[in-house]
Amino acid sequence: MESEPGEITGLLGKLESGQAEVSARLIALVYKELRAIAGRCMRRERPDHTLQPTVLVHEAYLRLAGQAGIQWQSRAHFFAFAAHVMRRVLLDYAREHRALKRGGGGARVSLDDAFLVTEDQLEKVLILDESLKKLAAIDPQQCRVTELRFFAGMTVEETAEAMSMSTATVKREWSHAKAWLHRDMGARGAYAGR
Amino acid sequence: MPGDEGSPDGPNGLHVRAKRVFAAALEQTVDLREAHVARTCGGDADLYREVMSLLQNYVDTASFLDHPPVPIAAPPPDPMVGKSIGPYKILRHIGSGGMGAVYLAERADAQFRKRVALKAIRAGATDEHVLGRFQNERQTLAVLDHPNIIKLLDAGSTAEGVPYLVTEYVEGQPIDAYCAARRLSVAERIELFRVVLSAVHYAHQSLVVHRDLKPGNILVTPEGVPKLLDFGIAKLVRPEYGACMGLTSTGFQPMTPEFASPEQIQGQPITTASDIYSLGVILYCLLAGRHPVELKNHTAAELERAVCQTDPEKPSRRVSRASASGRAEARLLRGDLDTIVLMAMRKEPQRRYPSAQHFSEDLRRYREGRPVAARKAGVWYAAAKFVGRHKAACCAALLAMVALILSGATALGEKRAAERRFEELHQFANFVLNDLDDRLMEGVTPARSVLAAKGLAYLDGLAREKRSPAILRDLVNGYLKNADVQGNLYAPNLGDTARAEQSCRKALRFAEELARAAPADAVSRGYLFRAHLMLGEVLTAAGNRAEAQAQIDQALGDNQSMLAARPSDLALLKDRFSLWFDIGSARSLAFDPEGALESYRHALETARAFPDSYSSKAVAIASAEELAAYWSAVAGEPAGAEAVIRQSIAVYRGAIAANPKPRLQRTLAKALKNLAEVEQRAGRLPEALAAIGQSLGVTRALVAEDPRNAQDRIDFNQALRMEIDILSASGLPAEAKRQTRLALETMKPEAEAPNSPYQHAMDYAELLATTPFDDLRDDAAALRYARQAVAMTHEMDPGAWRVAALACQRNGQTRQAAEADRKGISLLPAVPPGRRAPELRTALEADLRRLSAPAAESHPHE
Repeated sequence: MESEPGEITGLLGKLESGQAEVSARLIALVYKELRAIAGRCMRRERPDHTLQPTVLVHEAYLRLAGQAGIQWQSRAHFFAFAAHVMRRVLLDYAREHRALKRGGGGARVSLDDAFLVTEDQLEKVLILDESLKKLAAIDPQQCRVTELRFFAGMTVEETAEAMSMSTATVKREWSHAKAWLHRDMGARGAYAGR
Repeated sequence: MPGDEGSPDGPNGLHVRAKRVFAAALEQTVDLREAHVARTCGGDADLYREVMSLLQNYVDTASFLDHPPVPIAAPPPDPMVGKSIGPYKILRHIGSGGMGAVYLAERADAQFRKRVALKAIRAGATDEHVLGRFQNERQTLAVLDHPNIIKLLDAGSTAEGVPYLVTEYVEGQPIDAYCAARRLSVAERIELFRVVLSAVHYAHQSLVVHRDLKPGNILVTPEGVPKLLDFGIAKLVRPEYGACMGLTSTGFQPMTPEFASPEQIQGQPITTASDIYSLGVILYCLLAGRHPVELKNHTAAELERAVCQTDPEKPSRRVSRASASGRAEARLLRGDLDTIVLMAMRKEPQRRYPSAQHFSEDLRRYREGRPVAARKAGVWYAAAKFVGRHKAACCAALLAMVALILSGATALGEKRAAERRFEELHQFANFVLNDLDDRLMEGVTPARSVLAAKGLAYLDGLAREKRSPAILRDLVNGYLKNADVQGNLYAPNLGDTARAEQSCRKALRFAEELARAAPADAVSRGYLFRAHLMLGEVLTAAGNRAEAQAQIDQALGDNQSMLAARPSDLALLKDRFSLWFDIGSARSLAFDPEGALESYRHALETARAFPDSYSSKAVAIASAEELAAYWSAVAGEPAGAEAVIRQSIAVYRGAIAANPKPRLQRTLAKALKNLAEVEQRAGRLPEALAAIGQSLGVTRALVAEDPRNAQDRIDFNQALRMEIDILSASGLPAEAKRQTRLALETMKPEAEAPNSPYQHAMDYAELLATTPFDDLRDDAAALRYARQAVAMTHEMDPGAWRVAALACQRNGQTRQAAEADRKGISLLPAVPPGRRAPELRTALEADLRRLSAPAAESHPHE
């Protein structure tokens, strides 16, 4: 990464203290790193260019954790952060896509295809984000679980490890979150016209 | 306080309490859940409602949340950025085009740093000879020195073998974006456009055609200066641009179809007129704000129809239709501007503005309020008569010659030479348009001979100039092309063959001179090789087998000596293989099955010598084996042929499974057809039927995929006719009739279409004339189309004459039928002693004998 190690730590500090917003710069840095890693992973393996998000995150951890000067409090710390980054990334992607769809009028533009995802899914992501914000105020732990399960694509076991919980707890939190989010998203019109 | 949120009594208490109950409820089976919740909640109605609502919203799996979007890996960072290539350092990526990526680079020489644009040509966009062409053309293109044309500075290839071009770097916007962003008025747009026209005119006078004009290639600097990009580059990258000898289009893609001219889309030679067309479309876009063509389905067929057949809507009408405010804009465009734009966009090249300067002048007249030329029925409209009448007949030969002249962008030392050449060209063009018309109408001399003579005069003139290697190359090319036009190998006419031979010998002389001037140069040896080869083919067609053999041996010798120096040089081996393959094709077309067989055996030998690492080795061997087997069956030794062909078919299928290239599929279709023929000859009709059915399937898929490809449609129809034959022979008249009906339906519109290859008319006529189904017969039409086919082939194709004979007989015209047979026979090469006559000759002779027999009645005969 071309950034100053201190910069990331400083920004991470803000994250640690419970600040929900992470600066754009940090996201940009980490995102770039994640994609570079993904590029290396991709070339090694899959011809269809898709990637399990966890692989991405794990690789990123291995890479960044070793960086001199960056103090990750724990793996959980890192993973939570990475998942948050990926949430922002996906969100930006969805917003960009929506803007283009509305403005475009026939002009064909090539989006930097970052995700293998349908338009319908992208629309739901935008709504999910709103619901998640609401959930974060009520139950931040569930929000983090959702980020890890959905945005970072981690398994129950991995999530449990990252958050130092039992798998049973993770399952409970995830089920509840799913139901809650589904309901809230529905109220925001996510499933209209299905 | 942090920590409160998780407490059941805190602000989110309901949520927390619901969590526990919900989790417990999930552990129950579905039917017991409600009861459990009711029990656990006791009297807490809010809690009950909350948990029940959660349960309702719970989806176990397969919901949106269970399927996270999968990130796709980013493409690896561009390896070029930061590298140094020769004296250039790549700074950053600035764009991508059809040819490849473009980078901003810096030339860091001792004295100064200059910013340039470096365009890396990606592998799929060109072939391995591109660098040779760069070197040839570099001087010409570098000579294009004009303030509005971006100069080509350099060319080379990286260590990895990526070819690149270096041009001046200019910051600017594409012209359409520029006009839109600055909200230029109509008048301002026209003036800007006229600057572009003057640049194009300058280039045309230097005999450089752009071939890929579009708004993206016309950048306008912030100061408002237009700069044209990529002049002449298209030809370097894709040399098949502008080289077309035949009447059939072979389906290649213009680089930017939206701005391509009809002739480009149809695969015909490209001239300065093609640039004029593209400029017309660009002006249309600039004035009307939208593109003239509106596609619904965006298919290739739709585009071809829209560009080649549909007349564009007037810009003024387009604008007024598009929006309410458009009415006011339309008023500005209506009238002369409409006419000017549409004139540039005429379908027929000769009907457009003859030069960019004329185009610009008309725009000036419009701005000055003077009458524009486009409206007057001027001298250029005379050309319309010419083209209208003789489109089909003249297209190939005529355009070939004109393209030959126009595309002769050579290393021009002085401007004067360029001007003189342009003047000659002008005269030539005038001659073609005017004098030639009269001669054609008199029917005195075949158009092509006259053209050929004129072309020769031009080339002789060229030969008198100082003969630099570039001019020598031009001469070799020119004479070889000339020979091709004159001595059509399909059906050599004695007179023309002599002239073709003459041209070839001249070509050879110049090629030898070229080789002497640069003996170590592989490119020059390549010209020598081609000259020997062509002369050999012409001599074969003329019947002079002895000398033909000598020439072909020479060509082989050239190739051999190059191979000796580099024995496993794949390119040379491929040359050799192609050489034998070409010879084989030429011989089969010249109705020489034994000669064809011999060639394919040689090809096979060469293919076996390919290195195993060559990925197409298996297919090459398979194709040589297949054709050798086929021709041995035709030449009278059919034993085991079908087994070999089947084996090759298996190889093709395997290759296609790995890589379904259309070319491979065509080979497969052809092989299946050959198999069907071999089986049919051997009397194994069910196998023949199966094979031809499969062949049709493959070709049908190809046609569906690229309806523009005329050759595929011809192949389909011919396969269909073979199927009909086999069905009839198998005693399946109902099937045969059904397929005949299908064939007639598909072939009729193609035979009728203007500019359609002659095979359509010929095959259609033959089907009409030979079908045993009376209710499908149409004798008058058969005769009409047969005559058309004969005319389209300039009365030089014996196959067409055979069809004419059949059609005449159907109409009871025995005398004309015999005449047709005689003409056909006269066009076939003499049969060398000891060899069998090809079947066409046998058929024509038998027919003639029967017709000439004393008691012959005029029975319609199939």
